[in-house]
Amino acid sequence: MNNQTNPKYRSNHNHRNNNPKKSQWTLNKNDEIILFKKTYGYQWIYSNNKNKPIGFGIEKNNNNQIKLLGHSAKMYGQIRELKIAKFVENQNNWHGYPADYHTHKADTPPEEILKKWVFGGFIDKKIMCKILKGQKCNL
Amino acid sequence: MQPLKITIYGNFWDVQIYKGRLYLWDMNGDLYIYNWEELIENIYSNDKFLKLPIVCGFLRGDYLYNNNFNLIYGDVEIKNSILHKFKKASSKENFFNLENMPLRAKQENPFRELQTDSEIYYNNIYAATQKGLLLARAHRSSKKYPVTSRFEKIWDCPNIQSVRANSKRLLLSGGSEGLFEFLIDRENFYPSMFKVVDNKIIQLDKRHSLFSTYAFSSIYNTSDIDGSFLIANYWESGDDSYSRKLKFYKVYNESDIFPDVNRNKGFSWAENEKIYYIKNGYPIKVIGFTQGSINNTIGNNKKIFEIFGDDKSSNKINEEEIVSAGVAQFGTLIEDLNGLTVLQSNGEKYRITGDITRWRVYPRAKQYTNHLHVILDDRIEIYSFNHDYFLEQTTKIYGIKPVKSGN
Repeated sequence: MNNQTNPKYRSNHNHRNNNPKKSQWTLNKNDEIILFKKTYGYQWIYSNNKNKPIGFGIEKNNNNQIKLLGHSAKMYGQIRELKIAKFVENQNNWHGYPADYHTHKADTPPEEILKKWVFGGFIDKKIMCKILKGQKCNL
Repeated sequence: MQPLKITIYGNFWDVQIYKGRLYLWDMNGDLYIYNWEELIENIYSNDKFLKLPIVCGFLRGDYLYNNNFNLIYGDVEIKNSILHKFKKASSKENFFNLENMPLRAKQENPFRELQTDSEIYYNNIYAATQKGLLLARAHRSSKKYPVTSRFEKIWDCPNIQSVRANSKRLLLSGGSEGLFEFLIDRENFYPSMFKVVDNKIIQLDKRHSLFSTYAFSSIYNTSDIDGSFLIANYWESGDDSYSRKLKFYKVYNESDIFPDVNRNKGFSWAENEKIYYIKNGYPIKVIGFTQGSINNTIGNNKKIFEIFGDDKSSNKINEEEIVSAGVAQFGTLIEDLNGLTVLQSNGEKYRITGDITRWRVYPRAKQYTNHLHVILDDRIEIYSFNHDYFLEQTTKIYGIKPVKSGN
């Protein structure tokens, strides 16, 4: 797990320029950074099988619903709403993008983070199971 | 006919039933193993009049399929008496808490995390987890550890989202990573045309796999992204029954099976001799798949797939909202964003609503083929559907024919 006291974050323009191959943020840059800080602060971060730290973040809106963060990449057909963010680190610099777990298995949050979201009241176990199984759900 | 039902309260994550034991995983990482037969006996012990439906419903799902009973079923009075008993049993409410159930053992989940999916086969529990495909030995005689407390790792791939077993093979659906198979007994399977990704693990296809099932020795892959397909295999006889080898024949895409299908539209799924397809919500198309035709009439596609029928009921199902689907002897099941629908083999429909975490049917478990297990927010509901015994098995649209073997 990453132990940087002040991780560096930089928004990646490929996720804000209508790149058809990349998911696109609807969240503004400021909120993107806030979400990353929240993800890092809550330690919604794990080490993948290459020992690289990866973070996944979600948050609720004022109506206590999981917030819309962005849209899926156009090249995969029907545009889907995305509500999970993925954050990756490269040489101590982080960036993130809206994660599409349905079409990209690598965008699936791991069980340990999903369980934190369940016990933290962000999602219920039904949603956790659907995400792990790559199924559609009312996130 | 309404199904029988048992409700067990608790915060569950996964369930399996196998050789008289009920396995329940809860969200805290505990595994409870119950003596299922003793639990069922407790139910009918208070009302011996209902012993037949309760035993057939929850312990012996195969019993009333016996062809020797046709003479009995032909007697209207006897048949009506049996139906009356099932009706009475279905009106009986059976509620349990974990504390008042016949516990065999409680232990820590051997996989040390909440598994994405599981399957019990030949006394082994296979689990898809973040650590990969794991195995724990089950159905042990140990009182403290009926399941081994430690797992063995078969494959360290973290992306498996669905596990199904049959004929010493394990189907592994990996979402966007594709479709894989673990060959428990590698000696009798496949030429080297499939890529070996790990010891006894081959990649069958790189296309998206939401879930996959066995259609006899063939495989049906369901995808709501890339389109579904069938991998047609057949057994090639050897010198004796033990030396037969599984051979690959070809891949049939949805457009081969359902000729008027456009790619990436609709949703299809299969089990054994039935393949189902929904496009534009209505009607549900049903194709009959004949495994034997692959062996006997290679090259003659018409006999491998034949139109079985359309469901011309007025109920539309939006394929965009389909989460998952499955097939059992008692019917076909479709899960959407708001619940689970059982399209029964007798033409009736049964709907389960609520926050469904997970559901399971056991089409290959001879004694539990009539079971449907549904994990909801605060309980598990164990249904038993018993309308299928009295139906003509060769013409029913929903549901597969009774299977012979178990695991």
